[in-house]
Amino acid sequence: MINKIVFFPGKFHPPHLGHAKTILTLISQYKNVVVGVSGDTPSDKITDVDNIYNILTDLFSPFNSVVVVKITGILVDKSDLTGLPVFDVLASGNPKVLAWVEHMGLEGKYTERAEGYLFSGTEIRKELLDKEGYNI
Amino acid sequence: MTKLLYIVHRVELNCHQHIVDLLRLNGIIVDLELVGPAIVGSGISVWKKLNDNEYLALIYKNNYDFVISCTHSSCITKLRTKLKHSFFIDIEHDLFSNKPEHFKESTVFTTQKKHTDYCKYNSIPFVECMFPKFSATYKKIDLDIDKFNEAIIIGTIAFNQKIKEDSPVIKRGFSKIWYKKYINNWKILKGTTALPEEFTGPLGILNCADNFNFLFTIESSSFVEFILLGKIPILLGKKNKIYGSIFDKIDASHLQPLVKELEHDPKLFIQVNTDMLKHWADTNYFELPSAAEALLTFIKDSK
Repeated sequence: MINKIVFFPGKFHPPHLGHAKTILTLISQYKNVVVGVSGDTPSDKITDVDNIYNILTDLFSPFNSVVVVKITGILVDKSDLTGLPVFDVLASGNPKVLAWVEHMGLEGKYTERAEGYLFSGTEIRKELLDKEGYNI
Repeated sequence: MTKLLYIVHRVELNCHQHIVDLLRLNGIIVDLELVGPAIVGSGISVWKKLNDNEYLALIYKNNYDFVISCTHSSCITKLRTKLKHSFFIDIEHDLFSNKPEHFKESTVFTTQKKHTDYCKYNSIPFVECMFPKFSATYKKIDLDIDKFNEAIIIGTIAFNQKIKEDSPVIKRGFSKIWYKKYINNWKILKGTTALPEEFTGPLGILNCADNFNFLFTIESSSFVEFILLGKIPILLGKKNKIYGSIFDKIDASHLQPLVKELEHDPKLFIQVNTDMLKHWADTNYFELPSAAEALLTFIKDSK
């Protein structure tokens, strides 16, 4: 167990099993996990930031070491850490985010797409947006 | 183009790879959903809650002609029920269970007599085929990785008891370094693992299997696997109780003579397996089609 706070930001639009696997893995590795729902998450007929926040909070409510927060603004556009939670390590699979982490002189951790998971958020959104009137 | 989703415990993928390969050779698209070690203990609640979301069931339903499960895991029960998939197939996961579980919406691929009796009684369709572990082709790399890994023999009752954190076996297991093949790119990983919160239930067993690289139970199909592979040093118990005890290490050489004998005597090998199965299966496994052949035929006939 690494005695650090790991920050895992993302759009989670919508939350899927790949996200769950990654977060559960971080829980097993770090003392504390902060899941950050990004401020540039779109609100559409699939879901919105508040709904995503509620789903993730409910999902990880059994874990005392996990907290879910909403992030204001867009992470990679930030010139400082204003609006972000306190953390030691930022975990992400997004190269742009990891480049920003390096630029900011922070500690980053590359998280691969969850092993064995089949759908990306993009694929799920495409699938759901094709369904007329679909709403989580 | 037929497309199917194949759900299997990650640690058991090597037993099912030959099925996946045969299906793919016959032009069927197979996506693998690997149930991994993160989904244990409290992680199961996350899995279950997510599967309650309608959108995931919709994704599965729209993308696959068949969903095949090789796990009894309760974490996909909600999804299974929600899908009510007419082509939800269960391949026998545990040879030594008394009845199929969560199979109300499925076709069961099995030959275990208790399972087939249950299916007949409950009007659940089933297909008789060989237990996948019997027809599996084990890759050499699977046997070579960490060949000094230890395994545990525990009785089935121990599954229902929380294994003590300060147990010598647990201490030894979780402080030792493990090596794993990373399935996507064959990279071998190395590390140590923290003690999980929960050992009870099948996913607890899975966690044990993952962390120790193997786990035996007296009434587990893993024991069959041991007989088949015959490569794994084991822990034996000084208390020598079948149920409810974790056995302390004596010497891995205890079973090695038997293993060598089995490796060099195919007749004895079949005899040992047949004897072991008599209690559980009132049929000769080796006369049945393999799970791979039976599955392929079923899919072709379903078109």
